[in-house]
Amino acid sequence: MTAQTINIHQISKFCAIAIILHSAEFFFPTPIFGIKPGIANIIILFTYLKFNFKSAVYVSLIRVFISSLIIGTFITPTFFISLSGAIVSLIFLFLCQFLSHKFFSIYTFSMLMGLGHILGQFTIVRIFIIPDDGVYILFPLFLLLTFIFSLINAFIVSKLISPSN
Amino acid sequence: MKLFGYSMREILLLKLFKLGDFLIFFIFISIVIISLNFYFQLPKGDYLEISHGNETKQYTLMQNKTLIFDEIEVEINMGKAKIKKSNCSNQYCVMQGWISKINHSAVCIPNLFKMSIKSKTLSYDSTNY
Repeated sequence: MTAQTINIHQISKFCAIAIILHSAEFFFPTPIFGIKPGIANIIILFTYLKFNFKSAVYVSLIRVFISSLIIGTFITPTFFISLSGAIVSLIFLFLCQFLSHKFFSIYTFSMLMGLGHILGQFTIVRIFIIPDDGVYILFPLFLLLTFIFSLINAFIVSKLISPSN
Repeated sequence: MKLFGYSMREILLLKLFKLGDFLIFFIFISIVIISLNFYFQLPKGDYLEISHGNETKQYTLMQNKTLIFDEIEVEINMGKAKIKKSNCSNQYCVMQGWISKINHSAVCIPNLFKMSIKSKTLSYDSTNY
């Protein structure tokens, strides 16, 4: 097998895990509609650290498309919210590459990705789905939860990536 | 007690973090606090605008009064207002409770009723921070 075949093999394996996590998360009971821990982001961040940015883009976008087909939300508002969140969080991940690795660890990466995710989702919701400024009332709550969940996710990634595993 | 191989002391002292992470951490926390602050420090409105059917009327907020429209009872109490009674089935308008800040509004869709708080000087949107 060539190096490229191995790479595609690995990426598809991570895609599968991300799709399972994303789909499972959809059926998770939540107290407020729309609040999810974002456990699929663990895999995105892990892929980025293990391989490179390009692989993370593949895994993230394939996850959004395939899991929406599985759940049955393809080309519905839910799908577009999910897609915009994924794209903006990838843009933030791309910008994170330029940060010094001496001072910034994966906690920063995870927090900024979470922030990007929430900003992308709110932009789409504000423009297309609920065109009213009232949606910003939910912003502080979502931001706080993003912060907590992204720290937990980063902690899990740090355990996955550690040399003992 | 150990969590994922780290002792509680290590986690509390944040040995897992690097210096830049603290920076992002505090920026994130301050964004949350600022956005919460903006929401709770909105200015109060001057008058109440009620539109019922095709009519729109204005009432001052600095009074204690109960207004009665056909099916709806509105209570104004020194700067705040609420829908007290309504004949609609879901009673969402009654559950909304007091409103007091600029551009906040209460609606009762079955009765085509809307009331919102306005200001003479400030016209920006209350929730747009």
